[in-house]
Amino acid sequence: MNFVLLIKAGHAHAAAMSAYHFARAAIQKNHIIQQVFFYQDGVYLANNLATPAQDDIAVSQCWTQLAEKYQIPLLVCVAAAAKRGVLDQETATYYDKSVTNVEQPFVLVGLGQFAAALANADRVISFDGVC
Amino acid sequence: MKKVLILNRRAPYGTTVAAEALDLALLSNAFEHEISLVFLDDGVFQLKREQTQPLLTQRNISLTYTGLAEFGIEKIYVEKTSLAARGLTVADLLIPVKLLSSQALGQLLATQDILLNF
Repeated sequence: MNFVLLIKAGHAHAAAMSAYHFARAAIQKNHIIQQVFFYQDGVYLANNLATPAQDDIAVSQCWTQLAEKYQIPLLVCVAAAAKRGVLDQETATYYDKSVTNVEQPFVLVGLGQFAAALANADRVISFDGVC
Repeated sequence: MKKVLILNRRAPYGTTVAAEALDLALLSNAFEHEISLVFLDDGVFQLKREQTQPLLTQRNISLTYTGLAEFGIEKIYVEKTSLAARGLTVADLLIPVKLLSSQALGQLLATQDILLNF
């Protein structure tokens, strides 16, 4: 099955880590993770300045390793990211900021990339924060 | 293309959830998916008339709802008991909607390809 995962919560919630476990399990069962899309506070996962405590789980690092091993696109909504201070070189230049904090395999893209991916998805699984 | 239904369950202000759900609805519509919007729980307040700018803490998003029909987004549903529980009727709403019982809502959800919860 072809999955698209939508992650909508940041470090304060288990959403991104639950999604990671889901993705690993799906891959083990030979399913395809077509795309992981980070939206709303989920974009904070792309911030490479985030520094978890030593005895904490490094969620972004888990995703980076999984994405590199299985060639999973980690796409981050550029508008949601920019307003939360998550910037790659292009957006930093555009908004005249001196710092960037996004690196591969996380990529800032338009929300349209998620909308386009829906066309081929067998399932879209959304991981939310609960509050 | 897919039938995409967006469940709007949160108040329009206080968080950016409603605004970001709207962005997603408009973008998905631009990619020719068939969009339905359902408003339930506190989400019914998103469609309340007279969201006046001076009282708000965020950009007034209500104008976007009135523009939805222009983009061809016309499948707009409100869950009946959520509306009544908040002392509202359809006369209090910005745009024409279809009222659904919770049972009818369940049936609608079953016809969709993708459900996104906001």
